[in-house]
Amino acid sequence: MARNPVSETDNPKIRKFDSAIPGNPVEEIRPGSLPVGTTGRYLVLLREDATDEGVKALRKSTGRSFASAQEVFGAGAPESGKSVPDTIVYETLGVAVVDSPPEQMHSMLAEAGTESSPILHVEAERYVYALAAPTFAFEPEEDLLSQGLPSAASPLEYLVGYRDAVNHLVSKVIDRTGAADGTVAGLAVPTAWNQTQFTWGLQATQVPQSRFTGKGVRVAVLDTGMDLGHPDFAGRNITSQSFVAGQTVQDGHGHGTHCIGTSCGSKSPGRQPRYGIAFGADIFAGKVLSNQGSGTDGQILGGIDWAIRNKCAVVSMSLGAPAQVGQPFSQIFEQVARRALKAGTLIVAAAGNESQRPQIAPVGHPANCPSIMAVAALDQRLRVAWFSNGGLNPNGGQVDIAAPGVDVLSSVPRPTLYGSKSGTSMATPHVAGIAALFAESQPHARGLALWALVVQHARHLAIPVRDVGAGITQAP
Amino acid sequence: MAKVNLSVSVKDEHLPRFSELVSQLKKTGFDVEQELASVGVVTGSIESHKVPELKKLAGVGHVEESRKIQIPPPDAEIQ
Repeated sequence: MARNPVSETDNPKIRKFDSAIPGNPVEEIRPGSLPVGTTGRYLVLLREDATDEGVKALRKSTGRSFASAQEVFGAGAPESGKSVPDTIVYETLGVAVVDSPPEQMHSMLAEAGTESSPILHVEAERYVYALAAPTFAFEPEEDLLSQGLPSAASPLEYLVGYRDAVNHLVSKVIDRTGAADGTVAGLAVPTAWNQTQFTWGLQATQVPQSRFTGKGVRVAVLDTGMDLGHPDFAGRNITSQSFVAGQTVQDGHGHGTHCIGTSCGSKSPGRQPRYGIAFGADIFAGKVLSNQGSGTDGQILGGIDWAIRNKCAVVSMSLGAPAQVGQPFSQIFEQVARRALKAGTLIVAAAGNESQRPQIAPVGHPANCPSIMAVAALDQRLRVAWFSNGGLNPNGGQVDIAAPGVDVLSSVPRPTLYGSKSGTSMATPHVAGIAALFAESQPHARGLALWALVVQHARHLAIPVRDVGAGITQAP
Repeated sequence: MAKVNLSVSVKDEHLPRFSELVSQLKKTGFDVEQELASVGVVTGSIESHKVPELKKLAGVGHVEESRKIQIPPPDAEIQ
């Protein structure tokens, strides 16, 4: 929060640098020390529906009274010379600024984020400054040339080649020794996942830690139907509809049952590990692909229409047709997807499996529509899967997000009950299940707002956006 | 004459007159399969030489041939 510009050196409370990083949630406030760049005040985030309660709690903990931003700024900026109060609450934002000694912040910290607390989060207030114009840290090309680098390639090409060669060498060393660097984007990535309690896909997307279940959220899976008698789904709310002439919803292929398992499977399946995400969701199983795995645009559109009429917040489509480079996306599916978003239904679809990396194929139909969330597949080391399509087509056709899609265990029709499959088809229901968790966590976030929640919470990977979009989906 | 399977979308501003457009489509010889009011699309089939006539109807947005989708068999390596 920008205040009257006070330089760091003016503030007598600031000591030398310590390891706390301003902006990270305050986990420990050590009296007498202050991270560089912070003002000594704290920002307190209050729960949206509990601002008054939050302010009361703050008054009680700190013994201070809080000025309301409305009162202080109501008529514009305060007169020059009159200072802004140190304890102030911005009601519209649901944020309070507290000037209390660290010791007083302790009890507030302990409660922050618990279910009953009106306080969500506490962090140290930082100083901010106008940004200076960028200066280049490296020398211009002409100078590099004069230092005797090969003249055949431009210096930039040389550096790019050097970088790629180093990356390649490092990858080879890692693969050969089986050494994992331990974490990818801050996520623990074991060399071999322990899948006793949870599938690797649920672990990598932070599902076990989530307190959400998808309760009250309707998830439609448009696929080869479902094995309605599978024991792991006993007691669930299931609505089903076949759009395949002459075939019932009963899944004669296996694909649909597997995808429904990943997105909505049981918290306590008949056999561990747990493989399902939104175990509290209402399942809408739409058969748009025959038992032989084939379908048409018309059947899929019928399924989407059915899902919207039934107020499904999420539609999962692990299906598609290959697209060519330069091929435009379907205007009809794009229009339908926009109408769906407007009606509160988010459509998630598989990016497709035509790639044989390093050859990359473009995202297929209908995932290539801008208004459909296209999902790429990751392997167990959180690298893009070799078959996963990429965002090659400039207009539409991009990958929006990625999820586990190799060796994914889930439900299959009786009598086999469980099986492992790989594909962007398996990645897609991970995103759909997580979207259902977000939908439960924010009952008013639907359509585009739900899209934003899912994408914003993805964890970035050191992999091009072309391949993984915003990164690996993460549960709330 | 070959019949072709189509999806026909209705323009946004014409959505309130969806049913009316469906009748008009039928009059041009369009064999309606599904009337999907929630997404503003009609699916069905028609003789291929009649497609231009269909496209000229007021309220018709886009007309696309219905694509076929095929996923691999259950035991395929990648699905």
